Parts: sequence; structure tokens; C-alpha cells
Amino acid sequence: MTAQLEQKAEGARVIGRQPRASKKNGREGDRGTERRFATWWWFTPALLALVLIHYAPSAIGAFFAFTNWKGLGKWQFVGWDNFAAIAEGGPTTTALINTFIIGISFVVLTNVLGLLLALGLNRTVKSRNVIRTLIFAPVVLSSLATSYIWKFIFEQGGPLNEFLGSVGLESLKRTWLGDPSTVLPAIIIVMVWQNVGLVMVMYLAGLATVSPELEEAASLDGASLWQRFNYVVLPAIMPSVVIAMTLMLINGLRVFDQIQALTGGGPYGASETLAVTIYKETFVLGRFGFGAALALVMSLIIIILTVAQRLLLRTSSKG
Amino acid sequence: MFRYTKKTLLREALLILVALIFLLPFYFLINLSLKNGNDALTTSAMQLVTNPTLDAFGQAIRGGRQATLMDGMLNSIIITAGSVLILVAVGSISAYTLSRRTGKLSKAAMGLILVTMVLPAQAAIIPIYVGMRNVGLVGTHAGTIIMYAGALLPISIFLYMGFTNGIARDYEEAAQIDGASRFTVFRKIVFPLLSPATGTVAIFTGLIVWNDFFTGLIFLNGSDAVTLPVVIYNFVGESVSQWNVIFAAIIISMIPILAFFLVAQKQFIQGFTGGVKS
Amino acid sequence: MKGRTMKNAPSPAGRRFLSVAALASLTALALGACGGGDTNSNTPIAEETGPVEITLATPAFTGGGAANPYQTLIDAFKAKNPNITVKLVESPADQHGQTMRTQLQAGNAPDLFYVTAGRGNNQSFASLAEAGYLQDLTDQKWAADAIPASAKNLYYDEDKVFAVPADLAPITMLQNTGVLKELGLQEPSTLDELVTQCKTARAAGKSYFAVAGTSGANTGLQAMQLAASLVYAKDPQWDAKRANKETTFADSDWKKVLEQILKFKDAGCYQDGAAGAGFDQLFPSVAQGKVAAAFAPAGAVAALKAQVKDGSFDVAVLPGEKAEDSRLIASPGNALAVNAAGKHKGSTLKFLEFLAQPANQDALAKANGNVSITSAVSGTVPEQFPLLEPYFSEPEKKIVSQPNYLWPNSGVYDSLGTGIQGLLTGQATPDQVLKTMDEQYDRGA
Repeated sequence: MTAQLEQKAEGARVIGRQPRASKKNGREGDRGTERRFATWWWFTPALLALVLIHYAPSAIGAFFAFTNWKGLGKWQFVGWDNFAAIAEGGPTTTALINTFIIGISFVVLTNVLGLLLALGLNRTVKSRNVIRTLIFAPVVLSSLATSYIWKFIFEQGGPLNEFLGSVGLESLKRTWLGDPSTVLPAIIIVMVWQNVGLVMVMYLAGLATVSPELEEAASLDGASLWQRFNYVVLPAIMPSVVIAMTLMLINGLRVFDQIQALTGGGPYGASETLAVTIYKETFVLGRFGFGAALALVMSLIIIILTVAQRLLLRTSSKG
Repeated sequence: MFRYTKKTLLREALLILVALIFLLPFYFLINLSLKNGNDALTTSAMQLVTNPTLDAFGQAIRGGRQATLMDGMLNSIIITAGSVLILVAVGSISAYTLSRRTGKLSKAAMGLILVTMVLPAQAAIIPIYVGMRNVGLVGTHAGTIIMYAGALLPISIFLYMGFTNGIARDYEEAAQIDGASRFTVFRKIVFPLLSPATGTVAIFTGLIVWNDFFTGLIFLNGSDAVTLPVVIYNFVGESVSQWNVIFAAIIISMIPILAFFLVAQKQFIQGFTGGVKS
Repeated sequence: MKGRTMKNAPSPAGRRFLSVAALASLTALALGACGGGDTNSNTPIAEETGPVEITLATPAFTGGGAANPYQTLIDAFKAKNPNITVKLVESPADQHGQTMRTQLQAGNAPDLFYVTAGRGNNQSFASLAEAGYLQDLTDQKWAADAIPASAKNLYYDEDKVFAVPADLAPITMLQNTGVLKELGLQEPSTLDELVTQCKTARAAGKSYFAVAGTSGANTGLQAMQLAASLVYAKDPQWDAKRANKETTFADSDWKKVLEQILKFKDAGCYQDGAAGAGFDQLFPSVAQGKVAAAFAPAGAVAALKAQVKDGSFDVAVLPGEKAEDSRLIASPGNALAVNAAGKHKGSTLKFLEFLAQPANQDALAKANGNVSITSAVSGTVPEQFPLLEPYFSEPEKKIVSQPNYLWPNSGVYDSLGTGIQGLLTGQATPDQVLKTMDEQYDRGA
């Protein structure tokens, strides 16, 4: 993380005329006479927010994971019962599997497609800015709105089935959101549609820093397109790759709005992920204790997978 | 090597095609919203509207048994603006503090901020809710603003820190030698220098708050301060099967953000990638 | 302010800082962990003078543009009590229960709101009452008078009353009789007859039923109607037995219920894409004559008739295996409860008492398309549903109370509803669904 910040610092452009700054860390040691530029009191509101809105509620929520609180009224301490119920499996196992499937597909698809689009748009394409804007547009929409639009498209009598019928692919018609074999891909399509623009734009920014001279030199040396990409471009955009993949992994594992609006977790749990289950248990069925336990489990999974992905990327970029 | 060759033309054509297909959902959205009730049910979605009408829009604006779309929009504007103001003010000054006060506490604070990203948000919601309820803030504009601002503060600080770390101290020192107080230094010198970051933070967090649905549903459903996404959700629940009206409502809800986006495109996109420059 | 010395330990500023953090944490813990309100439903309720506004919250009325049925009563009440204004507030039907719970916890709930009897779903009043959110109505005589004898087990929670019935909604098959005539079909009197009729309909290019596979409420409704004849005709006390653990879903005739649904599916009774169909597609299908029937509360027929003036619609009872097994589910499950923390309880109780008067109950039922409580209390037969008359004239024999009102939590009905979707897509077997229902039931209240 610190490495990332340092890179950001170097990248930050400070506007205005300014003498070249020499950041001497040696100065820090001279605490006694250095003028302070800020006081810790200025950090108080942030601290309050961190405690009151992030840490304390999470701790309390985590506590309730060991109870059977129903959201109203009395509750009892039940120890590890909730977690045992989760481990027993059944619907929770399906939710877990779905969370992985959606999360990983989402990361891979958005990054691959986003990178391809960025590579395609990078340099010399005339309508570059227009296309970039158009593909980015869904990112600013509310996920609810996009879900409703796509729900309409996927309807039994909707445009997708209509189109398939009109080109003679009648047999491919489906109840996209009601058929357990197609519901996950359908949801992934909606999620990717909404977010690929964001990834594309991140990669475009990263690609802009790859020096054309380097690429030109490589191609003059006889490097193929793939080699150029692998040895010149990819290493240069590694930081973008790391950020884009981390961000999309976390978002993919946490997705809620789209699934709730498109299927509510159906049919029969085929599209239910941990986030949806947590919502259902906590807010619809009123089992707050169990929901909190699920939330803890989900946090754990996100941490593990994020760290794993980071390690994976670090080793591959060193290789 | 990077001239415009035939290959490039091919690439461009392909990309334009991809973009057009990509935008098909928008075509349905707009097309259907202009159809009247009968056409919406009977004609094919792909078919271009023959008698465009603004009926659906009228219904969308009027409709909604509780809060109307306009109410929702007004509430969303108030809550988003309020949250963003706090996020910019507090985020910038906090990031500045962390940048300037290096040392163990600062590193610890930074760590705390990053860890918030993986905390179990859904488990934290109810205690926040109960706490806010106990002080009477649920369902109010102020309470919701405080909640959003608090929730997004880590992101704001994180985004600002990229910039505050890179500002050299020379100007600040010069100002202090001239006798300016610390706060004046921040306000007059540092903050203006942070304006790219401010743009990023304002857009990024503003977008999140404006589009937020889940927390709005829990905290505001049924209250007077209900925000736009929740209004649309309720609206869809009532307008069973009337896709033209639903789409009209969606378009109306999208107008502010799309307009802002089209005007401030560069800022938007720069904002999202601002922290990524390598 | 300047020139503080820095040591490796947190500076004085830092230490002060940490103590602020600690204090904030404790405050947060105190605020956040303090759950459940302590309501004082024992304080005497004051008579109020002077202008007062109270709120009544109900699920959104989907009567096709017609006004909410409570509106006329509100206007009538206002005429008699000019000082009390009742503000009507609606939420989407599937959000209402949750919105009420949220608002009750937040302390900004309406004064009077819709609940359902028993405890089987998230709109049920029992769990709200136990948490202390509802005003005790046991001392109000008019409340006790409004509860039909047959429904005492639904409304009395250990001899206390917390809600008052509003009307009665029989659960039925909503039919487009025009389509039936077109297909040359008569009212089916047994399930097997119905299955044959499905095949006739299919041959003519229609499906007999429209079901919303994605709506647990709709699929559950159908299951309960099947259970009325397959389970409760033979054993009206089945729910009590289940509560005493004398039986389970898995080894009861509930299995027959789910198997019947599979029979319906195989005979083509359901429309194409039923597994993925939404609730919003049901009524248009019936209204436009694409199907012969859908499962709905009887009140929906009034809305249909209002929307499609030249159609003919009616409600009928889903038959049983044998004609004499057919049972009608009709419980006074729609109810109203008073917010214990409301600020204008005096006026609210006055309004509720007004609504509980027989004449007003009749008016409400008429506007709603449902059956008035008065008929259940006094035993008269409602005339707006001719096909239901035989059932209302022999209530003890032919009417069954709605099963899910007596189940301990909403998870049971929820797993029934989604389980049926699983049957329709082939993802689940009847045994699996029943097992899940038992698991949910055993989790208790």
C-alpha cells in the first residue's frame, strides 16, 4: 500500500509555479524546531467518523453474530450456533458458490474486456473520445436503473427473445432470469455492462504513460504484437492492473443492488449470493444474529481473496 | 508506426460497432419511454416509436402515491450536496494532517482508514441505525448526510492523500514565516492546490451518494427525506408492467447526473483514474 | 503551540487523541447496542381537543387507479370529527411489512397501520406486540367485539389483544369466465377434472393458469389452496399438531400438495415461462383472456371488473380430490394496529373505533372487494361472491383458516414459495422443499 501512495505522490501534478521541492526526510527528525503544519485536532472529525460509523458498529454487529437477535425485542447469547448453521451448508453453500462464480467472472471479464477496449482505443483512433464517453456512460447510472432496463430486455416476451426469434434462433429462447442455467450469466452481463467502462478508462490512463518510443523501439527490434504487449506495455501498466483487479474483485464479491432488482436471488436460490442472503435474513426474515454471522463470514472471504489476488499479481509481475 | 493505416480504420469501425451494440439498452430505454401505454404493451420493443408522446413522462412525474419523483430529486440533491461538502472539507483537512504529521500515529491512522474497506458493512448497518434512532436522526436530512459523509470519509481521505503527499512544503513554510496561522495556511494555500483532488472526490463520492439505493431503502423508506433511487423502487413496485412509465421515471432520474457527466466529462473520467497514474 | 518535543510514545496531543477515540467508542457502543424501545402502554390515554393529525399506513392499493378504500371512510370520519385529520400513507405491498418494522424501531412509525394476524410473515402483529411496539387494546370493548369467535386464536396473544380485524379476504381462484365459456368448460369439481381441463385449454393454445414463479406470495397462495382440501379437509387441526411436534411437513399430506403442483406442471396448466414470470404479469393475462384463471385473494376480482368493463370475471374455490373435500380459506387476516409510541393515541383510538363499527366495516369491505367482518361475526353469507356461498353457509365445515398465519416465523412460508419455484424449474423435489420448510419451522419464533 505504501508503494502505491508513493507512486501517486509522484504522479500528482501541483498546479502553479513552484520551486523544485526537495523532500528531505531528514527534516522530520528535527521535531523540536520544525514548524507544524497541521494539528492532530484537525483529524478529530475523521476519527469520530471512523469510530462511530465504521468500527464501533462493525464491532457491535459482529457481537450480535453470536446471538439470536431478531431485530426487535429480547435476544440470547448463542455462541457459535449461527456459524455452525452456516457451515452445515445447504442454501448457504449455494450462496457461497454463486458469490465466487459471480465475483471471479466479474473481475476477469471486466478487466479483459476493459483492457481490450483500452488497447483498441489507445492512440490514433479518431472517434476515441466519443466512444470512450459512450462506453463509460453506464458507469454513472444507478445500478437500480440499469437493472430495470435489463430486466425488460431479458423478459420472456422481451427484445432479446424477440431478436433470437427473428434471426431464426427460436430454440435459444429462454426465460433468461427464471432459468437456473442462464440466470448467472445474465446477471454477470448486466454487471459487466455497467462497469467495463470504468475499467477501460483506468487502463486508458495507464496506457497513456507507456512511452511510444519504447514501443517503437521494440517493434523495430522485431518484437511481435504479443511480445510488445507482454514485455513493454504490461509491466508499465501493472499498477493500473493491480488497482483495477482489486477494485473489481471487491465489488464483484459484494454485489447486491443488481441481483436484488433482477431476480431477488431466484429462481430457488440459483442467483443468491452472500450479500443477498444477508439482506434476506437480516431485513426480510428478521434474523439479525444470523445475518451478522453471514456478514462476518463474507468479510473474511473478501479479505482472503483480496490478499490472495494481490500476492498472485505481485509474483506474476516480478516474473 | 502510429499512423492511421487501414488496420486502424478497421479497428475504429469495429469499435464503433461495439459501442453501438453496447448502447442498445439506451435505445430501448428512450424508445419505450416515448410510447403511449397501449403501444408499449402491444408493439415490439425493437420497433421505433411511431406516435411519440410525453404521456409516460407526465404519469411518472405525477405518479407515486407517496413521494413524487420531484420530491425524491430534491431530497437527493440536498443530501448529496450536503454529504459532498462535508466530505471535501473534512477529507481534505484530514488527509493533510496525515500527510504532514508523519510517524507512528499517522501510519496507524492510515491503516485504520484502509481496513474500513473490508469491514462487514451489512452487519454494521443495524447498529448505526439503532444508534441514530436513539438520537432521533433517522429519516432526517441531517442524519442521512452525517451517515453518508461518515461512511465515505475513508475513501475521501484516501483519494486526497495521493495529492497531499505530493505537495511540497515550501509555500506553506513561506506563509508561516510571514505569520499566517496553520489554518490559514491550509485554507489559502494548500486547499486551492488540491483542487484536482477536490474534483475527484466530489464527483466520485457524489456519484455514490446520488445512486445509493440500499442504505437509502433502510434509512429513509417512508420518511419525508426519501431519495430518488428509493422513490423509483417504490414507483416500479406500483406501476406493474407499465414499462413506458417506469422508463420515463428512470430517464428523469438520470437527467441530472447525465447532464453533469456530459458537461464535466473530462473531470469525471480524470477523477476516476486520478489516483491510478503510474 | 509550537515547539513540542516528540518522543516515541504518543505525544500529549496523541494521548489526548486516543482518549477521545476511546470515549467515542464507548458512546457508540452505548448508542448502538441499546435496542428495543421501552414503551409505556400503561399511561392513561388522554382525550384530545384541538386540531390533530394522525397517520394511517397501508400497503399500496393496486386497484387499477381507484382510490385507496380507506379514503372514503377517512372522509366520513373527518366530517364527524373536524378536529382530527387522518393522513393516508401507502408503501408498495411487498415493502409494507418491512417499512413498518423499520419505522417502529426508528420511532417515526405512523399512528395506525396495517398488520396481518398471527405471526407467520413480516407483517404479522405478534412479534411486534411482543417487542412492545403495539398498543394494548384488551380494555377496549369495541375491539373485542370486532373479533369473530372463530378467529380468537389469531388475535388473542395470551388473553391480550393488539390488533383489530379490518376485513376478510378469501383466497380463491380468480377466473375469466369468458375464457371458460370459450373453451366450453364448466366449473371443475375435482382436481382430476381440473387437470383434464388444462389439457383442453392447451389444445386451444392457452394455458389454464397464470402463475408468478418469482413471487413467493403467489406460489404460496396456490399451495395453501391445495392444502385446504388435501391437508385441512381431513385434519383441520393440523397446524396445532405441528406446533406440538406431533407431525412434520415432510410426512404429511403436504407432500400431496407439492406433487399436485407437479401434476399441474406436467399437464401444461401453467403458462410458458411460469418459473420466471413476475407478479405484474398475472392480472393482464387474466384480463386479456390469455389464461382462464390465476390465484389471488377474492378482492382482486373487483379491481379486474373495474378495469375491464366488458369482461366477465368471478372467483371460485380450487376443488379437492373429491368434490366434498373442497374447502375455502377465509380468515380475517387483514388487521390494523396502534403504535404504542404514537403521540395522538386518543385520536387514533377514536378513529379505529369508528372503523370497527359494523356499518363502516361493511363499507370498507365493499370498497376493497373483500368480505366484511360483520358477516364472519354474525354468520351471514356475503352475497358478492355467488360461487362461494355454499362455503359461507356452512363455515364450520367448509371454511379453513389460513395456514401461514399460525406458523411461527416468516421463513416457513418463504421457503414454501421459493420451493415451488424450484419445483417449476426442476431444481427441487417435493421432499427437499418439505425438508426446508420443516427446518425453517423448527427455528421457532
